[in-house]
Amino acid sequence: MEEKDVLLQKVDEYFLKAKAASAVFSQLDQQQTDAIVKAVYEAGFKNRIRLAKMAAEETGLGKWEDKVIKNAVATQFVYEDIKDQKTVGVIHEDHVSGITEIAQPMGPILAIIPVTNPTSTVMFKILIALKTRNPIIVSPSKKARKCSCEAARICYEAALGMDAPENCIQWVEDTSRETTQAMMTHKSLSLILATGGTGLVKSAYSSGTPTLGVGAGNVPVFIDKTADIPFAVEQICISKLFDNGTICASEQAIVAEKSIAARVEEEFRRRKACFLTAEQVKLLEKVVFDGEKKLMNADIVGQTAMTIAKKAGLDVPPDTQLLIAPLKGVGDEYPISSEILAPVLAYYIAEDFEDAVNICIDLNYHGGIGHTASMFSNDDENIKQFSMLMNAGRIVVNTPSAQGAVGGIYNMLSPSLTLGCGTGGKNITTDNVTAKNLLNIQRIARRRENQRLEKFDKSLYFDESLDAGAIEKIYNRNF
Amino acid sequence: MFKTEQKDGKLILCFEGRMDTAACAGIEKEVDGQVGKAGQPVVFDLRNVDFVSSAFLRFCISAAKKTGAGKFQVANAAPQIKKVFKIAGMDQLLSVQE
Repeated sequence: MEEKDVLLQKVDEYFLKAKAASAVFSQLDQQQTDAIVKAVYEAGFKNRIRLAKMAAEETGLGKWEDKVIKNAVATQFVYEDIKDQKTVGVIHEDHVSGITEIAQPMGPILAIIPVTNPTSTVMFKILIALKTRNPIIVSPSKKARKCSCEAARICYEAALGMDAPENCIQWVEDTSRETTQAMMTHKSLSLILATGGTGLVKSAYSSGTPTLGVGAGNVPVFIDKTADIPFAVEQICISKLFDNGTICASEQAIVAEKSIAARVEEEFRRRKACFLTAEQVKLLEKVVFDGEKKLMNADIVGQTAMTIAKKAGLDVPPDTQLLIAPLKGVGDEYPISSEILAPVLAYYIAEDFEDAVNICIDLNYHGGIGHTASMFSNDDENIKQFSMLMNAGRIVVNTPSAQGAVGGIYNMLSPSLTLGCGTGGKNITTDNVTAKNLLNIQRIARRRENQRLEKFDKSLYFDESLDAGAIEKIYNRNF
Repeated sequence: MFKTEQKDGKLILCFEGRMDTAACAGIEKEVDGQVGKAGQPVVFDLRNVDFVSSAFLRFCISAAKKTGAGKFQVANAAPQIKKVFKIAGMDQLLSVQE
């Protein structure tokens, strides 16, 4: 048998098992489903520290302590959010409209896992898949294969302990491009949950299988003159330094109004941020950005500020936590105005509110359409105006953006590690993807006749002298 | 958990109740033995079955392999059980009768 046939046979086996799991799953009721989800949550939560250490060691990215928090969010917070949701059978009934909604599972889901959140994303996707009675196949990043597979294995064991269908969770040890491609295009696959780089997400969307994907971020954070400045700066540091900046919803550029810029800079300096000179910015650009690929350099993702400063040959204070690059513009000629998933921030001083919003629009449209925008302000009108001008699924306010966008900690967004970016990010939703996105909702539509149409003389449709306004008036006549 | 009978030159295995993992584990050897020595078409009658587990689906695949093409049937499945075989993609391997 040729190599390709062996690969296809293996992929077929995954789906034969997944389909059988799907079939058995379809018989489970809400109570049985919830018991499985609870057991999996508890097992994932119990292993949060071991998995975080495994992930940090295997990938060399971020901080294990922050990965513990990510694992806790992916299990505890997600579980809290979904545990009481109805996801089996009749989930809504409206006797007035006569509509009854029935939740049906979608079928086998392929979960593409990023290197940046390799265990938390696995547990998150497994929980929402099981809650909706969908079998899931975990496809890890090749740089995080061991820890992602281990997270899946832990969840599977716990699920089986509660009589979950065999093979309701599977994981792929072979992370080759060919296998992933064969998986994504398999006829028995129902949905791809694609979290990862732009190339992979695009490939998922191009597979012909329905896909819930994500887009790249380039999050601007606007500090307006009404903001509590020390608080704003503290919050930005909490976010940008979390797991060394690996969360795609973390801030990428600070935009401050001129009248408050000096205070903003002072607060950042107090928190061990280093504002770079123009020469230092040039040196940093070469290290953090790949000019040919027009993307951040993968080697610096999730590294500390000092590691990056050393690589760039920057002479900065030895306790520097954050590198800040003051820039005059946005675009390809300013590489640090792009997304950099590390403790590096671009910095802009704006003349006034309008100028600041314009800079934020440029940043938002420079590789981050549909993702997330952030604002620190105490003026609700400014917040609304800013929000309406951003193309972002989430506009987080007075919040650390990385943790805020993920939901459940600083706001009531659904806790999620898959942040939809809408059509701007080439996604079908702007939701924080969660269990409700993994259901086929059927609607029983009982006969409820349209009383106005019954009274309406349909022959009027054939009278060309009547325009839309005239018809509307007759149609809506109050008898 | 199951009874056997001979009918029209076929071996009929009539199962009853929930065919969950534990129930299947208890009858696995016996079912396997009956199907293995049958030497004739085999029918699994699911008239009185209201749940099938992954283990039971494996019984079906195994029985289909042992009896040979066209000689294995699943019969009298209730609609909710018939749908299970549809979702599993096993309706192509097996003849599901209502």
